[in-house]
Amino acid sequence: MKILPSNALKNRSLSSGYAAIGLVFLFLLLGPLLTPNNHTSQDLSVSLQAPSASHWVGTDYYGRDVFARLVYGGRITWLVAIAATLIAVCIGTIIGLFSAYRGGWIDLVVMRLVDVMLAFPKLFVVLLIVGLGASSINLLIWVLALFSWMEIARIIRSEVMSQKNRTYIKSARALGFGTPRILFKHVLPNILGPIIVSSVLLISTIILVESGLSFLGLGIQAPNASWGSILNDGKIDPLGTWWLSVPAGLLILTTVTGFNLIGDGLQQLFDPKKSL
Amino acid sequence: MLHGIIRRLLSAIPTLLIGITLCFLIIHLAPGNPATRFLNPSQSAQTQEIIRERFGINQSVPVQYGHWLERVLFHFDFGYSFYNGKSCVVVLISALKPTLILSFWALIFALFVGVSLGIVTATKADTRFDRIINSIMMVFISTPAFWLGLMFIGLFTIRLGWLPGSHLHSLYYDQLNSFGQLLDSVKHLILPVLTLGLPLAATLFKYIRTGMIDALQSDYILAARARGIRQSTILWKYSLKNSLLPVVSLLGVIIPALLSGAVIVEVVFALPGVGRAMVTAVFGRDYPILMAGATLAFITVIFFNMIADILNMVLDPRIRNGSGGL
Amino acid sequence: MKISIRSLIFQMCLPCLIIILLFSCQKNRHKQFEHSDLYPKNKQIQNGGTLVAGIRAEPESLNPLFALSQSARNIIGLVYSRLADINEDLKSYSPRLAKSWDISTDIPRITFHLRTDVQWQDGTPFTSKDVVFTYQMHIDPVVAWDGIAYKQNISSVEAPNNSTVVFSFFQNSRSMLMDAVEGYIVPGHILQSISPKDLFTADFNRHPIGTGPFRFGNWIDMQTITLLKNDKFYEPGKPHLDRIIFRIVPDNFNLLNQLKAGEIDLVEGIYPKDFQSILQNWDQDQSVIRPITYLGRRYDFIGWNMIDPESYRIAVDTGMSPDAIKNDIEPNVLFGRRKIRAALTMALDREAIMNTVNFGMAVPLNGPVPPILPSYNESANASWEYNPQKAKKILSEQGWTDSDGDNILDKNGVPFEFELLTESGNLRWEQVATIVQAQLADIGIRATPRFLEPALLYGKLLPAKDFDAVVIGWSVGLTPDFSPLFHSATFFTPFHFTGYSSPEYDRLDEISKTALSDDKAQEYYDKIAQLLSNDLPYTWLYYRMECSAVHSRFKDIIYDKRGIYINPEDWWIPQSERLFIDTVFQK
Repeated sequence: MKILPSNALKNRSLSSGYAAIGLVFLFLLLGPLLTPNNHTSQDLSVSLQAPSASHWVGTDYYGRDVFARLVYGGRITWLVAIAATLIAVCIGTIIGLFSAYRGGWIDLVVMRLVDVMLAFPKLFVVLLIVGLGASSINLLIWVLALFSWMEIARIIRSEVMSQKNRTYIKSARALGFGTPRILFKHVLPNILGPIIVSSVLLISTIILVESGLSFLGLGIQAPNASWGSILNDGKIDPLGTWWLSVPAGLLILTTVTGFNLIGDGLQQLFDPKKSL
Repeated sequence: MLHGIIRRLLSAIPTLLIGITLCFLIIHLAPGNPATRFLNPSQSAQTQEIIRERFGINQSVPVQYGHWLERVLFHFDFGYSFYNGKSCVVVLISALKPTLILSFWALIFALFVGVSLGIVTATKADTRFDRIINSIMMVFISTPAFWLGLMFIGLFTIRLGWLPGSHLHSLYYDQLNSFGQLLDSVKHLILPVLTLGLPLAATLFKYIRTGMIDALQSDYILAARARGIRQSTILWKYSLKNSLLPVVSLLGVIIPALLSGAVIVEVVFALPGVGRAMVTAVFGRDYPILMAGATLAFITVIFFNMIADILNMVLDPRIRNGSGGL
Repeated sequence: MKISIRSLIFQMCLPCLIIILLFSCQKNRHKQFEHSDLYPKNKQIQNGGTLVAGIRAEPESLNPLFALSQSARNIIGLVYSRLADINEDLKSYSPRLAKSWDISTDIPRITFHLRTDVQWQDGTPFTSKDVVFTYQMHIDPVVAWDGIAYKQNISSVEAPNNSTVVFSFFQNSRSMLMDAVEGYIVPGHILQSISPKDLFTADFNRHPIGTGPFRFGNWIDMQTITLLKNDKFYEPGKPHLDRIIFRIVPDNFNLLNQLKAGEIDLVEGIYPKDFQSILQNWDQDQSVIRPITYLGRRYDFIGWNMIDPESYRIAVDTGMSPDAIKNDIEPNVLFGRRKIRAALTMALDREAIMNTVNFGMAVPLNGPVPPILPSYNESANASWEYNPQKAKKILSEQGWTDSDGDNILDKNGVPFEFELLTESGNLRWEQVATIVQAQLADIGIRATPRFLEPALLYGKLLPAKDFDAVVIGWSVGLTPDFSPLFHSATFFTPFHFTGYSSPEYDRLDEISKTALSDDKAQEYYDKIAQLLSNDLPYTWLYYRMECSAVHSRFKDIIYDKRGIYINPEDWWIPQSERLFIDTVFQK
């Protein structure tokens, strides 16, 4: 399999990407073990303190340990992004597969739907739904997913179109295999490449969107945290209380860069002609 | 070609209608209603009913939708803001100016920086210079715009005091002469334009560079070189045209991305633009403003998608001759 | 793009380095100022100067008939006037548009003698017709003025001549003067031609004309509202300031930064934590921003649901009669009994909560009457000292013990656990809820904070009494009237969410409103305070102080519990302390 690290070492993008993501992942995984502090316990007597031995990244307005909040918030950020991506990819893949394979009026209708949804001013509608709806992580994940599946569907569709008339498909059909079986057992493995690349790039996009929403106060709400909402806390004096704004921002930056690098690297592996 | 344009125009209309209807449903079916803000212990039930009637929320949703649609289509009347009773059209138009100024300059900046750096690094591909620029651009693509804005404010406004961190003008703007006014505006716009423009510049840079590298390696460029045409002519006349093509087709994505990026930048820098007006309206449940904004947003996106399609048709002979297309 | 690990590290480090390097360089932008007095003895008052006030939200309207937000009310107070303004004792009044008045208790009525030298800011003379017109707007149901309750007792308002207005009342009451005077006077000659239902969207709301010390200058949407000196103001020689500019800054962080940078002169409602640094800097002579505190208008409390939510829902759905509901509805299994509420109150270290959440910017509150009112009498309040042991004892007497060893009290198999709701985004209340959770956990009660968005909390759960307990706060009016909160007549309204119903309270409330002497009324207020502070539908937590800040160059600002905009016509700036903004505007 091409995505394995052993292949990665030969590709610079991939290796840097894996390194970045690996670092953040370790941080998120092992974070709680490294500090005795809890991400919710408030202690106003130590509020807004610079990093120290007892609070490695300082404390926030409420005296909560920022290190713990970065770990906890990071988990939520990653969770939302990965969950939304998975859902979007599932929806997009299924729709793209069936639509392309069936062709005809199903394809026409589906592509119209895709066009309509692509014509939506994405941020505005997400803002509306998340801002007006009851705040919940589930809603956020589903809304983000519902506005991201279209690209995937389009890519899948064009890939399947190009595969549709290949010999192996024709022979599978001649053998009498049903559509789902053909699609999932034969077509899908061959177009896995673009799917994986799009998914990875989608994760980084969603992280940026979710951070933006949380920063505005619309995404992840208290008492939950995400890197975006931590940045919201730190905006009062961005450089004065730098421990609130700089680490969270750098974490977002590193994660997004990492996923982008992985995506680029995989693109180079799978289809060097199309890579940027 | 005219046929294609008309076809696209016609298909845009149902899209617009579907989108706006959806927004209406979202807004009016969401929990809570704008009247709760005006709740007051000493108001009688009668008063509250009057307030509800003033907002029109005592009718069922389809009825409200019908009224709204009728007013918009026949009278171009988007109603009045729940918050301050001002006409929605007036509010949005006055908010449009800062957003357009911000977006315009950010786009100019992004085109300038992205295109020029893209060309330069394409000619120097794989050199140290190229790699450094690449790294820097990669950072800007991955940086959340609001963090960039915060860092700028923290540095240039709070720490150094060089530039103002919010608003479009100083309070005494009207007292300045025209040169002073220009300088004042520039000072206030530098940071927001950079915040909005840098990530966009990085994206453009990526596309231009790749396009240029491909073009420079293509056969007909080699042929041109063999014919002795100068490097600079090769760069400008041949390669650039080909690498600009993907950018034009990206227009449909760039412009809406610019406008949605402007939302965050406007909030961070307290600019009185459309984005900030929308965020305020969402928090305040100002339905008429939200619907007017939704209409504007949809029209904008659909419009620029259409422009991008049309430009694509015009510029790319392959598509024009009907071998591709939607 | 091929990027090496080295350049990846490079691109991570470079921004860090730059940031670290640059944040260490600072320009010292604070000049050392000797703190000049707020009330200088040798007044050499000169006219001129500009005040820049920062507000967080754009006013929805500058028409006193409609404006509700704080920022709107502040601006309106500068542009319009009332017949009379209340004094610091919150009992007596000082003349404004009315130069004197005669109160007759027999008839009952009040005759106001108006000033004859007052002009509207468009030059038209102010007359009694304006007062009559304003009253008609106040009681018009289409206008739906939010202070309409003040006018209930008024039977008519007549103007026998241009400078006299007679308010007639249905009943003699102690609040006649307050009822008559409440509400800014609006210009009849401009508004009478607009139909009331069109008033809400009228252009006047954005171009107000009043009789106050400052007149409307201009309004740049979402940015600034400028008020200019009213040359026709009826007090000669005033105001001294040339202009007041309200700058709209939605974000707290921008607001404070501009305050510290000297771009904004006046900010109200500063969070206590941010206020600490302003206090510190002032005390250490490091800044020219003068901190100002005074008792505000808000208090926070825990509201207990005294009835069972499920039974209430069923009763309402099945159409049970209101009286049956009020009297027979099943009490809340946790908070229905007074002794439990008392125990909960004793289990809370309310002083610690107050100090932690407000950084010292609050005073204790034990009963319904706010400390700003003359009717406040601390000795009338029941006093519940912080005593967790006693609390536990009372709870166990009521049958709540930890019978299964899980550290949570229970009774008949029901554990003592509940959800403590509050408004999400309100830092103070969220903080309170979290501390309460910790303190109650110490005596074996599991309270789980739940932060809800306002629409859900105020729109759905509280009105339907579908909650256990809530951390919330009110702002107070100028009279000790708690009927919207506790009177049985308001049982089904959204503000009366505790389900409290007491015939004794109803009786005291009604009598106190008809009492004709201050002493008699005070008797009843004391009894009400006693009753409520013993019954504990609320556990009152604290009463907040307002934290504001003003640039030190402004002098003679009077501030007290009435706020900070009491005498804007007297504010002035000494010549020696003027800044660029004071001189840059040409007239």
